[in-house]
Amino acid sequence: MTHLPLEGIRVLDLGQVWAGPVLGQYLGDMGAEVIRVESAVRQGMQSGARAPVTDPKDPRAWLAMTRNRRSITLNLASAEGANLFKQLVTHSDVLLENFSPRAMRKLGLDYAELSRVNPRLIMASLSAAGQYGPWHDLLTYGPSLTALYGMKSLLAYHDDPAVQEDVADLDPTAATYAFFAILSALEYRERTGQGQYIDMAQGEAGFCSLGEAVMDYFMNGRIAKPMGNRHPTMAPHGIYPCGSSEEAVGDSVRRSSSIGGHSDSWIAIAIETDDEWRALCRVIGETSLSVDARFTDTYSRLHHQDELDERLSAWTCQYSSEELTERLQTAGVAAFPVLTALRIVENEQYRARRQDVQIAAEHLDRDLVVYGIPWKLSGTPGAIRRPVMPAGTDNEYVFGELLHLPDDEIRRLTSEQILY
Amino acid sequence: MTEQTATAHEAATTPDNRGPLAGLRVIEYGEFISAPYCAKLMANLGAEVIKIETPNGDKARRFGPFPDDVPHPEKSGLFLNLNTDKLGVTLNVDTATGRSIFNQLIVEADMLIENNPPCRMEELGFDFASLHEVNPRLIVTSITPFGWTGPYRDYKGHAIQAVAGSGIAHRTGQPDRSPLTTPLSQGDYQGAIHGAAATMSAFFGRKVTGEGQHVDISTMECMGTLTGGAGILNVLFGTGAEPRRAGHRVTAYYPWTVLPCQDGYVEVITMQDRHWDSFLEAMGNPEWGRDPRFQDKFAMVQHADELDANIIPWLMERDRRSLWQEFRERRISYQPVHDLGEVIESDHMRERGFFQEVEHPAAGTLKYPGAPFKLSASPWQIRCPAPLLGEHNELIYTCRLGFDRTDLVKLRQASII
Repeated sequence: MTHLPLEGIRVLDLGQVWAGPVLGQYLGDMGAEVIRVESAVRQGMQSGARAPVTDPKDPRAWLAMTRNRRSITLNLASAEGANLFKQLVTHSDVLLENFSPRAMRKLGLDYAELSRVNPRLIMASLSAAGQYGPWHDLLTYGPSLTALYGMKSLLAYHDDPAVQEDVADLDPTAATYAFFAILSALEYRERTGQGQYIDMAQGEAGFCSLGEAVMDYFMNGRIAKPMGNRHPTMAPHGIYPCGSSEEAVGDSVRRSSSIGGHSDSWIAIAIETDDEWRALCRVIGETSLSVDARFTDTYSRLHHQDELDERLSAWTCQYSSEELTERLQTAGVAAFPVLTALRIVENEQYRARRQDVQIAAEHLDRDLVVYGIPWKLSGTPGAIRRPVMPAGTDNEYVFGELLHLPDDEIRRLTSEQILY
Repeated sequence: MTEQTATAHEAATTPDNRGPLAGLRVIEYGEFISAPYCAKLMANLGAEVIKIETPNGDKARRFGPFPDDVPHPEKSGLFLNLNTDKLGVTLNVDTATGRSIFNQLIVEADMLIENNPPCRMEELGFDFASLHEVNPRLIVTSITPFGWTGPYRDYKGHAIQAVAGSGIAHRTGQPDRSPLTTPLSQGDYQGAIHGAAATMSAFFGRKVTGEGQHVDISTMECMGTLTGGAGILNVLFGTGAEPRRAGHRVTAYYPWTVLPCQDGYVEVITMQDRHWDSFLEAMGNPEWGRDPRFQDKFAMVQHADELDANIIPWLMERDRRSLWQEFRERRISYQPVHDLGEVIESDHMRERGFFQEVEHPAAGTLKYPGAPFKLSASPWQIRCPAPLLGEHNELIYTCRLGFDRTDLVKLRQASII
């Protein structure tokens, strides 16, 4: 039998919307027993919370993140429900939640209370701006959080200040950081026997990826400005137009990738060294370019980027992005096609690494194809062991086997809408 | 509460300055952002990290920013930030002696974190299979653009290629212009964060199996997670619709857009209808708000340009501060687009104690970004500044590996350290 890295760890998962469920997914994929605590009382919240798909009415992507879970229904707003939850806490190692900061306290289930019940508990709260501080109670969604924390101020073309909308949200980043922090806390507990509380701020998770710009502010008082596709030390560095692809994966791609009669196909090229620049010139086949004084070294190239980009675009647009990528990579130049979602699905690299996988969803009309495990471990890779289950599937196991409640008690709690 | 649990609780609230990962031994053999930030995450939680640099140093040392814009290898802001709490040694692994010293360091380590091209690691004999023979308990974490397997394994790539391959670029930017990459080096940072998460998973795996393993991270795949799997879910669910970039908005519903105001931009996003209603109220309930075409956010997106034209003049009469006040008072989820200076100087970041002051012998005392999580019992902390180039050669090579000082001179003369 394959071992799982987190076997023997039990997690209570109160995750909502996106960050919490992704964190539960990571813990479950790595082998923890993750018990999702759901409730019909909270369902409004969950259906109002949109999945990260283009059609936000479709709840199935959200469901996809709840693989590998036990599922119970428990009304935490009832005194008896909260009490049962505390009993579950005594049997658990980790609790994760991403309600708004005051919610757990209102339920009487904050860390101060729960650590009395189980001092070994590791509780992670994921929120937009942290549990305290003047912004802690602001209402935000992914795109308003990147605005608040400054990431969005950098998302514009180099020659046009108009800020663009971002599609890369911070929820999964917060989940990844929180996963790392939880495992670190588990290691600490192994050494000391003590649990602890983790206050995870999603906005700060994004802000941490701006480190060098923050250092520039402290060193020079400089406020970072958008650079578009340009780079402080590499030139050329950008996304250049390509012709339509012969290898397009289907008619739908051809239709969807054409704007105003032009192909919407692109390649990302980055030149770091003069050797790479000369290699690029060789592929282009213009010796005049490699001896052009405006472009011979990085310094000159950084100063002539408009001309450079124009020359390069005139060349790239004659070829497909796949063909160019292969030619440039063979010559040792960093280049890659700008993939659309459809092309990712067909992409040989993603396929070879099984980055999307199919799982069953017992209560839906079809299987779900979900994003795979984002890291590849050679020895204990983790596994997708359990499909998405309907809420309450594991009430009997959790309340009967773990908490030893008799059947008639479980029936009573169900009929009185505590297990609900 | 029993006496025992009371003591445990008291202890749990007393910070342990060593950090939760105290006792872990990490070797970092990489440069720029991904491997260094990955190792930094572990170092700031108490792991011992020995950073191996070539005698020329990590290229981040040449990247900047520099104080007063004067380049200096010990003053690069990128390097200083990403290498706190590490021991620094120099080593030329292109020599046989250098490789042998590398293996001696590996014998003692729990983890190696690296971001070199796979073929380079294989040439050096530093691939997982070879290192596993040297130290069967070693975890090797490799962060590369495309991963160690698959047809693109040996492709060269930077953050912009990771973003291009993730599906994000194609959906970002104006529809009539080129796709837009994400700011700065997001691909590298994502590789680092996922690398740290995965390294800890492998560490727990080792507790079960007793064996080390290879952790293979692709920065392109990490970027893909940020849209819930590169936006592929939507396609795979059978709607078949390719998500498209739409400039300042996302066209799933309206409003989900960034709009100009008097002194910048604000994010206007309505997931719950109540926020839109409150926004209209703030605008004084204009008549167009009652237009039957504008009653459902999924239908409204068909009229996005018209709605923008109704809203923007009102926004342009107000600055971000007054708009933000309005949004906060009405509990609306819209937020101003802050620049980095405004975030850094905010009351919020100050109250969270986010920045930590660090004194460095060459760069002086500066504030550094903190961590996005706060651990109550074993806090994140910067204990030491980034190492000077080769600062800990003597400590590691003599005290740890047992070279004597005359050996050290010879190693220097032979350009090995």
